[in-house]
Amino acid sequence: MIATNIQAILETLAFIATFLLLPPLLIGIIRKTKARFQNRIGAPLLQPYFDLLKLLSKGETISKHTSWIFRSTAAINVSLLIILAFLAPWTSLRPFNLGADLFLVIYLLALTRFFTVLSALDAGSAFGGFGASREVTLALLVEPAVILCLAAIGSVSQTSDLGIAFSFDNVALINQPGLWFIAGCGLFLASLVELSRMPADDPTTHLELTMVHEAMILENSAANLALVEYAHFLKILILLGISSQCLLHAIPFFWHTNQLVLALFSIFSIMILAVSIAVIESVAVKLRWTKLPEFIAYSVAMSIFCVFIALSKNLN
Amino acid sequence: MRGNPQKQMTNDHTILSAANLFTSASAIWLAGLVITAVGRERITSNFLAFLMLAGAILTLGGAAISWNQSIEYNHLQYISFGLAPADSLVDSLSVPFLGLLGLLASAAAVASPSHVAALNGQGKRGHYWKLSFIFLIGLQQVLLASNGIAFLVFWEIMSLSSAGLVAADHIRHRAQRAAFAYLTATRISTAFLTAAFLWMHQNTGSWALSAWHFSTEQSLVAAFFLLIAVCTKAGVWPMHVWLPLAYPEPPGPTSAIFAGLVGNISIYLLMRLLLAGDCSHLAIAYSAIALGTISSLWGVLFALMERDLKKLLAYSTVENMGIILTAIGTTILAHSHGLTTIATLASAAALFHTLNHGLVKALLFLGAASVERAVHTRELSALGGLAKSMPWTMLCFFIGSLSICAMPPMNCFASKWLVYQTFFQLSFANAPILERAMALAMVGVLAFVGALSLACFTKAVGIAFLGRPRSNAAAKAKESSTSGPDGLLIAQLILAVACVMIGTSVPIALEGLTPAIRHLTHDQFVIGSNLFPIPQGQLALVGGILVSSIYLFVLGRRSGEVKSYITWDCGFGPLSTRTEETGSSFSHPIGRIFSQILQLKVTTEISGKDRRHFPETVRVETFMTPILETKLYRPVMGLFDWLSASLVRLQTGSIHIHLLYVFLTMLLLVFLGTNI
Repeated sequence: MIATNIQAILETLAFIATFLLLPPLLIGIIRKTKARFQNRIGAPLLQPYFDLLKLLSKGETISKHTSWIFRSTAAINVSLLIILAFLAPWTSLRPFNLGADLFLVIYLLALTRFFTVLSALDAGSAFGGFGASREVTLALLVEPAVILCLAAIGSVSQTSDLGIAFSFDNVALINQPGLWFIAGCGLFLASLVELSRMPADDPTTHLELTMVHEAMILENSAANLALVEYAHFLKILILLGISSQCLLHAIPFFWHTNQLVLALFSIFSIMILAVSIAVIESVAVKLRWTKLPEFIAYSVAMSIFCVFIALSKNLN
Repeated sequence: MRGNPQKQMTNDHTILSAANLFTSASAIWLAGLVITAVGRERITSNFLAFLMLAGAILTLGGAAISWNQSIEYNHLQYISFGLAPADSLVDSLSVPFLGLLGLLASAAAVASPSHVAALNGQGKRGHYWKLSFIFLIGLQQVLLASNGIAFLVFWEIMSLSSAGLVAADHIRHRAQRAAFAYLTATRISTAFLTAAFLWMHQNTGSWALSAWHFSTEQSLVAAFFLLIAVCTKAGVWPMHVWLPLAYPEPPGPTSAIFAGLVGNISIYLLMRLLLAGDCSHLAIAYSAIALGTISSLWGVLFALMERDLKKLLAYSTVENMGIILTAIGTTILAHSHGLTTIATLASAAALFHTLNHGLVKALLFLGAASVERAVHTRELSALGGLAKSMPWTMLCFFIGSLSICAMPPMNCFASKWLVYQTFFQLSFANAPILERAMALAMVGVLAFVGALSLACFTKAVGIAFLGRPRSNAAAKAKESSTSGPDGLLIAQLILAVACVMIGTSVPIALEGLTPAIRHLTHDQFVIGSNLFPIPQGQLALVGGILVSSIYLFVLGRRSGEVKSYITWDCGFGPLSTRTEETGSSFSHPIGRIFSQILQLKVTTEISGKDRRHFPETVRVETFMTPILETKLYRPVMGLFDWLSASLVRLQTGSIHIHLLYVFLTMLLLVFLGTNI
């Protein structure tokens, strides 16, 4: 009894430590891979941690035109993403199942966007407005794809609880590698856009032609900026985690293996996705703004395939 | 099926019975009307507002007493409309709407004195009070009417008095046009409603609303007429064109009641007749879902492109009415397939979303009224930076926007979640494959509409309240003319608190709606609080704790001193407000994607000697032509104009010809009378 309790506590601690500490490492991996592609040595893997720590110790400057929205957005977003990390099925080993409702997860993500967009508009700078306007446009195109991929998976397992749908005990989904694979790819493409990565947005420049995310956080500094960055890293972890989980479910091996392997592989697969983001960013170019809907159409098309598979699975 | 076990005629003569409360509320409002008509300027607006508030609180009390039982009474028995007496019926379905009426009327009453004080001219004040009282009486009696005739009479009173309110500012051309469009819509709606009622009377031989069943073949036409009437009155595509004109016009406080209840009452009628009347016509279900879907997409898209704050809110009503209509359609669909779980979910979704939307829309309209009072404009391009000067208005508007975008943990999230869940569960239910495909497609459509409404309301809050002021008037805006908080603000706070409270305690709210849901589904085992399993209140609490601890430990540390400085200007010196994002530039990227529907055209003109490097004039203009108005309604209006121009020829002005007409009519009547 005590042993199981201690094990549960240890698992919980390991889980919390993972989602609190892993996100900056993912960014480190992406940056390191990109640097190697460009024949540079690149900053150390742990540089994002140092950056965050440095930002925390700096003095903050805020615009005198801002309201409480600007000041509280970063804190609210970090809190929301921590809640999401507890709810969303981004790793296969979670010590507890709190009931991750599909629509709740999507709308919590939308809530972070609501605050980000408002805080971008708060200072009244042209950059912020520009980024905010583009962010809502991209979200509009991506949202149906994300929800349809997840709803198709939920529909096959006949529950909107992602915790149940993504559990490896779910027999309804064991022989659906096609559904899982397409959903995983669709979600990954959608995440590229949601996370402001390469074909949609260039995270390394401040050039106004390319900016989405960077433009929105232009006014943030010091601890506030650290929180914004950290929230973004957490979002990367969660979204990549969900797509990597879909891809893992597509491989029959993982349905018959033990918990520890699963846990390790779910972390490992998130890192692989991070590396593949870096590869995509190295070989692909940023798309013109007007071409983006065509790119997102791939993601939407995959979600529609998922819907077809789900409908045919439940034929009666 | 229909017999509610708790139904009773009120024989108890206790003073505190619900029937007495409702009647005395109406009586108080009637007294207010009489006093305004007789007393003229001697009556202070505080007293009239007190009367309005008293009636509202009595209505709320009556709703609270009778929430779990249905009462029939005939206090108005001496008023008879020829075919049927003015009987009243309070049942579990009308109670939630009466509660909403009470709440919104209280808010309007609280907001009224400060609004009236700002009016110049005694005539306008009298006009405002009289029409408001009639409007309230009409609304309450429509909800209480137990038969078709009484319903129609009070429906007309409600429609005409609200048309008067729309025309309150009738010196302006805008208000005249709005009142005219609104009157046209109400006429069409009443005509179809009357036709439907007559048809049902012919079928059943009864005027009682509860005696009408829509499960028979003969009722299909009546159901269609009813759907058309309700769609016209609620502002569902393509009959919504009057809505963005009329909704912004009623004076501040009443705009809350207008926006929160006029559309909702017609949805209430649809629920009472079609859902509680066992409608199982698939044709009705499909039409409702199709119209609702188009309406939600159309409404939110036009809301996003709108430059006028109140019109934006009005278009968002079109969107929400569409969503509610899809839920009602799905209830009928599920009912005809015998899928009780989904029918329950869908009817609960429709009911809860209707109430939530009414509450939130009233809150948002009060916020917009507050902005309009402070800045004297509703144009988004002249607003901005109001968060500093009007922090409380901003907070209320922000809460309303969060809610209407269905963000957790607000009340609309719960009802939107029920709508999502309806379609999601339909996708794996025992239904035809096409319907299941439609259900999953609807999940996608709802996500799309949700993302658009997020864009729309971040625009409304962000452009109106955040950033730097875009005009002098916006820079000088003040929250209230007096030093303390005034009525308009208190009214908003009441509604905002109601939104948050419902949002964080959804199970309690749904438990309260359980009798109504049972009434709609005829399923006596439904438990409302089981429908929504997400612990929103706890989530909000955890979120609050996390946010405050981050504030304490990360942002609020002593080492982190905060310097206030200008917005980043790239080193060019003070930024002009024209460099800021405006409402139309914010929504422009989305407008470009949908330029075919919106008929959005951009013309750019750059001229000068060396136009590439030193342009002398730069002009960029965007045009939007409302496609439905120009392509559909203008030809129809043209046809009517032509017809009436042709008919004018009959009216020659010669007395002989007119006498001939009278004679011919008499001959025709005699002929008809003898032969039929």
